Amino acid sequence: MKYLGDTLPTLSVRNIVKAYPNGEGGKTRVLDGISFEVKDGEFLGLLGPSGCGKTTLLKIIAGLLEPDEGEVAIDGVPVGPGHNRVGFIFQQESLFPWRSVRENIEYGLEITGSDLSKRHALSDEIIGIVGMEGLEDHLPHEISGGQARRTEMARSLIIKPDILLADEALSNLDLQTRNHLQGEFLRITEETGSTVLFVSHNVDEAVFMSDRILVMSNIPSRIIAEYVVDLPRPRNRTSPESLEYRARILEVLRVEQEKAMSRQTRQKPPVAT
Amino acid sequence: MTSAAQTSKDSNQARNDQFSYTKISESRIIRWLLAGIILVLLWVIIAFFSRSTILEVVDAFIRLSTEGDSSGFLLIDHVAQSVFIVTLGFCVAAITAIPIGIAIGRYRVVDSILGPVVEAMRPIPPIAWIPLSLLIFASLLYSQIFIIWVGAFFPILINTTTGVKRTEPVHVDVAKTFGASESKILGSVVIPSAAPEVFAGMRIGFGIGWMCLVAAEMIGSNKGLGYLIWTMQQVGWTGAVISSMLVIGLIGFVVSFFLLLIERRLLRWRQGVSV
Repeated sequence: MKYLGDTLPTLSVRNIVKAYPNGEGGKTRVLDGISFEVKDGEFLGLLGPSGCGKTTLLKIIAGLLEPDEGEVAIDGVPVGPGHNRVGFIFQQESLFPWRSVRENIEYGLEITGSDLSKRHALSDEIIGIVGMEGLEDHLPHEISGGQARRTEMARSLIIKPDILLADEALSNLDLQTRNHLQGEFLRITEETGSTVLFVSHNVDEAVFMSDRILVMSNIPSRIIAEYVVDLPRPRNRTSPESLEYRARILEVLRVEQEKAMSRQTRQKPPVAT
Repeated sequence: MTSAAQTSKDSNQARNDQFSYTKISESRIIRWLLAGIILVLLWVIIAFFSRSTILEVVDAFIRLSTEGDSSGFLLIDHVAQSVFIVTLGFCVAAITAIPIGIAIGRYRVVDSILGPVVEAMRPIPPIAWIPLSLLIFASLLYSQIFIIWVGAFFPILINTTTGVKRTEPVHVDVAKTFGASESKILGSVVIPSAAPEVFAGMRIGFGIGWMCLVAAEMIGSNKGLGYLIWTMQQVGWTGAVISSMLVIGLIGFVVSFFLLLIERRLLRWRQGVSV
């Protein structure tokens, strides 16, 4: 069952710059020229230290924030504020507490004005895929954290977005639930044929899930490393190959951290690996 | 989630419920008894100072209900008059306060303009508006509606504003990622999310509006419960004064109880979120 055709658009992020007022009259540059692309059907992991502007970047891609410079294009066409071509799974729980699971999932279709029968047919299908059958009429406070994440995935995917953005989507879960949902997340995005941009600060998670991983520096942040994770699926978290990727990425992050700690001189150009 | 764990959790839950149930029901009886004793004591004090008896109050109630007052209005006429006016005034207050409250809560510009206006007007007690409203409005009806509006407007407005300001930014962001327009964001996110506060504001607003009406009727009116109480005091019929007071209290209680019931029913989702 494929939600998306084979001619999936590519997301391209070109030279995004964003600065915030720093409270002393000046501005802090958060994103310092971020550029990358996500290929059709790809699962791209984006790793970076806390506070490096990952959420800001995702919000710019989703059209929730405007960049100071640069451009976001989906399928080659630039998009701006108010576009609805991405699905977004937010870091914090974001289900509407006054809507049942099914009403939450159908929300996007209500906004676009689909009729009731079409809404039900699509929500039945996606509820089956994410495994929330039997819980459709529950309210968000009656389901678990993991079930809430499944519901949010369904809500994002029901509108068949060009790309699914996930912002630390599994961070607030306990380890067992998290590991289980990583597998489920992969299964669901595969079954729906989704293109995914998955932001994380967890190296293990990124290596387990991604086709390709980008590493961001501390602010002002840039992309400092790229890895193609060329491992067969389903992956083993503790295989020597997985551990090798982890070690390499952790080393890049460690060096980056040291640089941040001893940053007194001007920015050096980032090291590409 | 294993079913065994689930079952043992459920049975624990049941045991806890049973335990707390007996505990609560015991203490409930004691609390009701205490409340009853205090009420009786209060009555004894009131009866002593007003030199009236329960019989007198009941007798006044029956006579007001069947024979009416000196102008021939029955108790039910007074009740109907007061309830009619308070409903009108309350509806006007809700219709004006909710949209303005949403605008103040959602748009910073509106807040910076109207916020100070609200803060300047709010400290004036609604009852202090009664003389001015009698001067402004030629019709008694309009002046009474105005007084109720002043009383009910601010609680509804303030609660709506608070509720709207408490809207989770992430919920608004969710709506935006689906391309929702501002009007859809208002309708599908802001208003449902603020609904509990709005309802609470309406409940408080009704209570204050009811108090204001009774006061307004005492000062300039020829019908209604406030008027009835006032004239009964003028003729020195203590039993009638007390029985009218009880009717006013009872109506206020019943209405706010029903509003609370509706609120609980509509806002089932809130129970798991906050108190």
